[in-house]
Amino acid sequence: MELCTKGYKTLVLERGRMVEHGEYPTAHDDVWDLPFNDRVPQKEIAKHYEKQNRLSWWVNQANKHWINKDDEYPYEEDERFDWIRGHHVGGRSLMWGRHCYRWSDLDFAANKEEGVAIDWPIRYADLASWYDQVETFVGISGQAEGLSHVPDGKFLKPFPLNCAEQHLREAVAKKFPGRVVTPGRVANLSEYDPAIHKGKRGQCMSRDRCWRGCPYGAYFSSQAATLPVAEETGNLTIRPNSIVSEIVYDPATKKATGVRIIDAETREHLEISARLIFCNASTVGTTAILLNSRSEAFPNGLGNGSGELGHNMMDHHYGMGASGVLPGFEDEYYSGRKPAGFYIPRFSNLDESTRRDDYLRGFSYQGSAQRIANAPSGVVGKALKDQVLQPGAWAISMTCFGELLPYHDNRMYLNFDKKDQYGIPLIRFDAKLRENEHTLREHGVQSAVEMLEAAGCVNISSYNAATAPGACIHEMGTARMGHDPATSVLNQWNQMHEVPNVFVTDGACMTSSGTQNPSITYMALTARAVSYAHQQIQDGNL
Amino acid sequence: MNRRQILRYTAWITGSAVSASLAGAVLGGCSEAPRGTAAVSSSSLAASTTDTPLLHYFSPDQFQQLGQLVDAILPRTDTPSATDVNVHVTMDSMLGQVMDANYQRQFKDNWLALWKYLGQQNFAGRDADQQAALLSELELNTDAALAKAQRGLVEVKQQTIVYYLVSETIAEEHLNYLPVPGKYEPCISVESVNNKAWAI
Repeated sequence: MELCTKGYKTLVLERGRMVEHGEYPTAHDDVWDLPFNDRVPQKEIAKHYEKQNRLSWWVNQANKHWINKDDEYPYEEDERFDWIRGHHVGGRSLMWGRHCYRWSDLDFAANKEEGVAIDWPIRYADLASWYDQVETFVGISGQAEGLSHVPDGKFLKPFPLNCAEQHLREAVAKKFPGRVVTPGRVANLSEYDPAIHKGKRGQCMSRDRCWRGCPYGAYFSSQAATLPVAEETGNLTIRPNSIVSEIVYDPATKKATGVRIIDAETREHLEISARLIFCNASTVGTTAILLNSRSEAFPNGLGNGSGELGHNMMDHHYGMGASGVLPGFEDEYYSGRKPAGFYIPRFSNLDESTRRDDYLRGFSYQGSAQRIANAPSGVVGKALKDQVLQPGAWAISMTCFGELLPYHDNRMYLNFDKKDQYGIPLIRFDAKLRENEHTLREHGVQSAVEMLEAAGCVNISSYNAATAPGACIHEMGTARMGHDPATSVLNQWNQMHEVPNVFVTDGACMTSSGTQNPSITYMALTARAVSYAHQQIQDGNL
Repeated sequence: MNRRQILRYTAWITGSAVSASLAGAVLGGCSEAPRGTAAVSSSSLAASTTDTPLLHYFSPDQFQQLGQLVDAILPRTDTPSATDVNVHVTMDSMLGQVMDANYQRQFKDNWLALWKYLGQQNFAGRDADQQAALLSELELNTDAALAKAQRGLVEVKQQTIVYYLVSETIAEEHLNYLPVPGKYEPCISVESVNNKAWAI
């Protein structure tokens, strides 16, 4: 969209099928409309979704058409890696969790201050105005809290905390000053302004079925927002079923000349030339393309003079948290199904007073409070009939998302000996959680329990089942930004140090992982990088 | 199913904690339990190929008793009973086709203990009030010898309630069904919605 609106003829290559806005087949289905109460039978899981459903909740009848079949799109592992994805126009923008939190200098300066990996080549001041711009267009509902480490953005009104969540907020603030329970900041239009929210957008209906595709265009997706705006310029061409196998490099000009693609339907091989390439195929896809773009100048992958391409793989890790029952509030209820619960920003290792000796960085939480089914123990028969249609007790749950440090040894690479059905080398993963992550998790679980206790919850249960990298679907790193071409792939403008007309602004560019959900940062980096590229073209440098 | 949805149903607590598999089965909950690779032995729970409906988990005898049991848990009153909305058919299908092998094994173990106990107590021969009293007593009992039967009952009860509440008839006609809310109101009074739960 950014390129189109600046007047550039832009070709979007998508390896999967076309999906037009509104082509969301399950958007209006209730649980009872879907086979097996929305679940997928074990046989079908075993045949098609063994890896995609490793979390056991991800693949459902309502969303399985957005998820790749493992038997069609295999990958390899040295260590378990849950690479969860779907090939279609719009990609994960249709399926994402929509939480949007700004990064801060606590995140951008962390590597440098702690001597971890390499320094980010940017700071918050470089991104702040771009956050303003993309947040305004995207539409983020949220509540300003004045926190320096998760800065306030351009917010629409929040989806407010319900009574139990508000109680949690107050109880936690009282017992643990510095811990903030705030409405989740999500890319859902709590207020719709057609003059600002361009494309095919509309007011959020509070149905909480976002991950199926929204017929109202109420959350940000490529289909509802960026692609229609790009299309209006007349500069956009979308070519679905186009698998980019590699980027073509010309050693004479020291630039990329275009890409080679395989048409997924005809199996035809084509070469398409371009003046400027934004290689954003999602973190792993991006790096796989770059690793497969080998030439005499770059025998180990395009722009990989540093040798860092494929390394420093990150994600967030979760599978930890706590839940409990909150007594009281029997007369209180809510109406509608908001698309976000609460968020608790990171509160450890912010400053000297919150410094931990046992781990670096921190974690955040997402959670919610709801009234659960009313089925008291020991009550059956007519007595149960009287109660089961009424709302039950309040339960509060929170799940913890932890930062994963950028380890050089956590990596992905290509197995050139094994090819997929299109003749492209298979991707292989070798990444795992390490000591810092496991120590951090203990504190994350313990803190969740403490906060539920502070709220007066009973029957509190906690869990800590470490997820494999990839499972949080926040893959980051593998083509990181940095000051030095010897240790990084991209410069401070997301431009390849060694191939100036190739930019990467998806998760591959990340130099550390933060605790915040990353998408809005990718969007801010993208708008900024396009603006820079445009300036470079105007100045005759590209 | 999004992550928050998971959170909602990991907190399903009905006296004793609901199994993750069950929460997952109906509502897309979060089961972190490792999936077994071996298929469950179906020797004693062989699906019948001669009866209708086609059974996927229970034997015909067991299926018949399951129907009695779920109707004892949720009998017909001015609202439908459990079997009126096919809770037993759903349970058989979900257990046989959707639940993972670990859960199938665990459920079978408890179910067989429950079946045996109910047989000893002449459950089938009792009237509705006596059946309810028997089940209530079993659910609340603390005798270690009855732990498996009790767990079996809790599992059946939880599944019965879940499948009952997400059946089309109950959800649309007997709960507050609002497919397109239009807006979110964080705090309303229970009386304002007639003290009925939301269907979805």
